[in-house]
Amino acid sequence: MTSPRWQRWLTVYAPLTAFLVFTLLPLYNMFLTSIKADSAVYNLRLNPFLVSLGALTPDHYKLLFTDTLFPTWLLNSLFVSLASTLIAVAASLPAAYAISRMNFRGVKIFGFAIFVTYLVPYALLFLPLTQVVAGLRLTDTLWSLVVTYPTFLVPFCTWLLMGYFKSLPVEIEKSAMIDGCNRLQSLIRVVLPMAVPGIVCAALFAFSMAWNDLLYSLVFISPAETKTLTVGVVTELIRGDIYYWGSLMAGAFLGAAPVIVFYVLFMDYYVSGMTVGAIK
Amino acid sequence: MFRKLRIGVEWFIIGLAMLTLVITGSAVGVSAADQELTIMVWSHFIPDVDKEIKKHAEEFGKMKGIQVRVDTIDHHQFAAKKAAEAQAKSGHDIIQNYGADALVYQELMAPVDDLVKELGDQFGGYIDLAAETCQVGGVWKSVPWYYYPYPLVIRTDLIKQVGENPPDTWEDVLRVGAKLKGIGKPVGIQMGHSRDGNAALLCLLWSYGAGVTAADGKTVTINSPETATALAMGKKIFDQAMTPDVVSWDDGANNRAFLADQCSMVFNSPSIYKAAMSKKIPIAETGQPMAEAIDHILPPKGPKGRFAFADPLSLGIWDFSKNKELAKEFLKFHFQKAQFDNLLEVAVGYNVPFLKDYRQHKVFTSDPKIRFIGEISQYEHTLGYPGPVTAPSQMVWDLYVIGNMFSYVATGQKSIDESMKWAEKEITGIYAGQQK
Amino acid sequence: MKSTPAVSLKERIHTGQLSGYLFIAPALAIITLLVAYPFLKAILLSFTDSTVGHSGGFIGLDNYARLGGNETFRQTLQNSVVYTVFSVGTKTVLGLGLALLLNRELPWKRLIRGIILLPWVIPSTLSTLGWLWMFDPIFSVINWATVHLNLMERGLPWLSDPYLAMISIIVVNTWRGLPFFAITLLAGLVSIPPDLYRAAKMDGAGPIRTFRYVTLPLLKPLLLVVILFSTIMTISDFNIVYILTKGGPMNMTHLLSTLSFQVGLSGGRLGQGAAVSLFLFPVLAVVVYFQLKAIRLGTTYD
Repeated sequence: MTSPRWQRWLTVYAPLTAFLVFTLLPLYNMFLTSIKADSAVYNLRLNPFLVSLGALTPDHYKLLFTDTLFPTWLLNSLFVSLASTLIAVAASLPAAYAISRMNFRGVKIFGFAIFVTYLVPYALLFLPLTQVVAGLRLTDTLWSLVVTYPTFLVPFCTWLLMGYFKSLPVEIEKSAMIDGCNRLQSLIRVVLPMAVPGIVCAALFAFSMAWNDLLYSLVFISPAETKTLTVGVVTELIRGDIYYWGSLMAGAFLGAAPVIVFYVLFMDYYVSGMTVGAIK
Repeated sequence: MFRKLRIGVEWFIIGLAMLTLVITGSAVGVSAADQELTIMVWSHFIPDVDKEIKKHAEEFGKMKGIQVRVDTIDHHQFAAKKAAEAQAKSGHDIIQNYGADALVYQELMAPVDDLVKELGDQFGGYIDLAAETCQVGGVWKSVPWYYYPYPLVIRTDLIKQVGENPPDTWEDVLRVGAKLKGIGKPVGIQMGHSRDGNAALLCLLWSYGAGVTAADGKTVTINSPETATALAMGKKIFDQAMTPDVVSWDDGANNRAFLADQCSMVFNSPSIYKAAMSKKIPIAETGQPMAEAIDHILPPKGPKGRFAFADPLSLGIWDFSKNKELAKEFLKFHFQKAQFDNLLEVAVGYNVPFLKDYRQHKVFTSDPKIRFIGEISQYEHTLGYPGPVTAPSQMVWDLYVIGNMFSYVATGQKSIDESMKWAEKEITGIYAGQQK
Repeated sequence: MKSTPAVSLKERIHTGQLSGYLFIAPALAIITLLVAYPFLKAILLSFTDSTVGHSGGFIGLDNYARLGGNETFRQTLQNSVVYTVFSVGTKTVLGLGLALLLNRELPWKRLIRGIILLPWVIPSTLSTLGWLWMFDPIFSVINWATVHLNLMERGLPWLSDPYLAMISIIVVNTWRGLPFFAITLLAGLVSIPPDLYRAAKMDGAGPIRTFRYVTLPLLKPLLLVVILFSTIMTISDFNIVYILTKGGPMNMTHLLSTLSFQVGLSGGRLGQGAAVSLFLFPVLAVVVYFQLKAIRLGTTYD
């Protein structure tokens, strides 16, 4: 594919650059605002894409740690996301395996039921769920989220893992079972190691979906020290009329950090899991 | 498959994550303790007010040897949280009521007649607005707390610059506003999904003799020649004195615009003045402190009189609370001079009390820029006027029907007639659905 | 699979007949208790005139009937269609384009791919806050840039003009969902055997014909699956609209989920709010049915 330089620029590099700029612009803007002093942020005469050295400030980040319970919220989100991911993956794994590999009465209906669950609107369920949560006496605790997040995590993870399992060769399992393993053993010893990328991918997706939730954690939890990160940032850095943009952006940026860290570490798994899972 | 080292790092991270999980899980997994009084209110735009309330909670808790917790929730999410508590019949003990909440939630609110009477006797009685919002069927269902006033906030320097005096009537607002727009500092009245907009537009309607319902609180009167006149005036102000974005401004946008020296006249509770003072915000072009150029005046007069909007808040006790007596004791404590005076002070005059004695607090008489408080109460009304506060009137407010009605006309999406008919249909639907 | 008479329990476990139920048990429990039960309650709620403070009585299909005549509701349905069609459509076209680009020989491919995935990875609640700032009526950097580059006299009211507001939420949705399309389609492209391309080239096919007759047909099944899931996620979207516009201006960006939130919670009409959001379910079912059909059709001649 050796086409002339200028042609390559036109058809490949230019559009690619455009995509990259589009992707990074909001994030760049977020980051810049979070390190700019208020006087520079709210001054329309200055170029918002740049920041002079004099206007750099760590104040917005400092505010997060001194005036709000940001570190606590971070830990809360971490706990809830990890715990609910664990539960979701633990439930989805055998379910996905059963649907894609096993054939018994009701399995097809179950598969369909999982899919239908995915269609149930999330913004609808929360009100009846408050009664369930109150009944379990979990209101105002992080466990209320750990228990309710799997409702939207399980269908997604099951679908992802299903696709992944379907792409794995059946022969290896068959030979294991001929060698005397039962289904459970075959799942654990043979399939699991092969499916690690898919599992990691499902776990990563589940983690970010849990981390991202706003509605459930808002409704089930009131005490400020029990709030999750998204709720804390949105409710305590916006007070009635006033948006604390600098700290809001700092909070949003730092809030996304753990997810990004996990993603960078496990990116290969992520991509391979995502792609293999989609290609049935 | 992967180099040994890479596996090592990743599994270390996972191990660390697991450890965090275990540690934080054991630390926070406990449900709320039993002898605890819990309170849920809006997060006030002045953070010090929240701090003051929490201080009262702490002091009371120490006195009684119990835990008292105050949770502050942003007003956008407040309704959802409250509905969830009502559904689950479990939640806080004391809950803030605003607008027609006392009515909407009347079945779930514990009666507080004894407390209200006691406070009234102690502090000179309540203004009429209190009963309008907190009494349901003769029973006090909520303790009146304070309300947000809605004066007209103006930039005196800019008005002087265009050779005018502060506006007294809506015609003045139009004329002066047009000149201000001419120098790039238009008027900023929201016409869409915002509370400030709701308040301003209701004042406009009332001052032209229009209203959502008649005095009986049931007959929908929005489709009327008076409303048409008000809408026409609204459109004129939109075209000549404002910028098109006001139809998407939320409650914070007028503050931001004003403080950024982008607009000169807004309807707002004095949060703008407070922000300008505390953050020492300069006028962008001259560098002078903006707080000096801000003033608050009475809302403009129309052909049928001058009207102001009051946004009332009260404190109710859930009937399902297990600490009702304790809650009443806390409320009584909160309203004593030692506590409530401080609250009014840190609110720098933005929380206007219902109790007559407290309205004499020096915070209302010391700063000349807040002098409007002395005069405005004779003009003040709230939701439902000219009828009583009702649940459907609250819903009309929450669904921003009036804001939408004005914005349809302003942007030309609908004619005045069509817009009124639309509003009538929406409002009638709302009123029809509710038996109360 | 016919079972011989008197199959012992041990054999049952071994062949997976019992273990199958065990395998699906946890997921089934979660779904029954935490999804099915609340879902049924929500359906019941939609048949009542309940408000936040008062559990109402049965009123049959009244809530639904009233929806039909309600202009705001009709507007919301229209919004949902426009939003979904244009978002998914844009993501498909741009996603395909980006995937084709990434399939080429490129320096720093891994880094580029990593950057492209960022919007999908970052929690949408937080990134949408960033977009809220980008669209701010006064401080928008987009407006600043266009004004200073002399492309426009004054900035555009991104969130106040009803048409621009719809465009804004579509842009944010596209920004967020594009990586999903791009990376997944890229994987599909990568799996197309290069021999086919060589054969096409030998037959004299240019890049456009190659795309039409080689790439696209082979990509179609994957494309349809991705479109299906994107459609589901887009129609039931809540966060983006809630954070950017709350359904305004003038209800022109309301989706079923945000409208139900406003009617049910802000407005206090729980029964009606439930009816609005339940409307999503048949809409989704219809959409999904047709897309699944297309997928099945697409794979038959594979």
